Amino acid sequence: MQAVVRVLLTLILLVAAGLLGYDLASYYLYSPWTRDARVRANVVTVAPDVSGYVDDIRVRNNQFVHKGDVLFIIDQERYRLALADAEAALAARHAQHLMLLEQYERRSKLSPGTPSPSRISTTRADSRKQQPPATSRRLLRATPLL
Amino acid sequence: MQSQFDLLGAFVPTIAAWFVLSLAVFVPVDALLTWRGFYRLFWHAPLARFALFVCLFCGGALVVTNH
Repeated sequence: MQAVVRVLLTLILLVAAGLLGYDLASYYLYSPWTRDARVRANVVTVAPDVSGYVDDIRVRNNQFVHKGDVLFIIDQERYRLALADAEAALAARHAQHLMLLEQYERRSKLSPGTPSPSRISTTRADSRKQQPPATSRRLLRATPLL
Repeated sequence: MQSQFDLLGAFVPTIAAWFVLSLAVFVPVDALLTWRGFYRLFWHAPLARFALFVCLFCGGALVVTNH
């Protein structure tokens, strides 16, 4: 009886060793592995509408983003300056326009012979020229976007 | 677990390192078991010792390699 138990214990241990050895051998022989793997990723090129220095990047690597998310901020000072410049030019033109209109009104009401007719027509043409230019009007309309 | 690891610039299979480590573990355990007379329970003491080491080495390697 004792001998049977001893043989059985030995065989059990031996079978366990054999199974584990077989498992490890098949793992090492048949599981694929490589030292030369390559990773590929889809790269999407993103380009802004306007140029300028990037002030702030609001995304991390591999972050999931949605349509309309802010990815980065382009230096806004230059564009604010350009806008203020255009607005100032627009105001100046507008003031000039009013002034010339006033001049035209005043001169056309003067008794005939005092100003030369050519002077009046020049003033009227000038006042038309001093209408706000189309580009500044477009810039003003674009302001809410900034 | 990587199949190989970098040992001072040379690629060494992880299983070889595990073999050395399991030998280092097994020798004192084996000495203890021999001293306690554990191997008298078995039919062939050397066979039991060998099987025990194989169990330790293979089982440990399978655990270490996350198989």
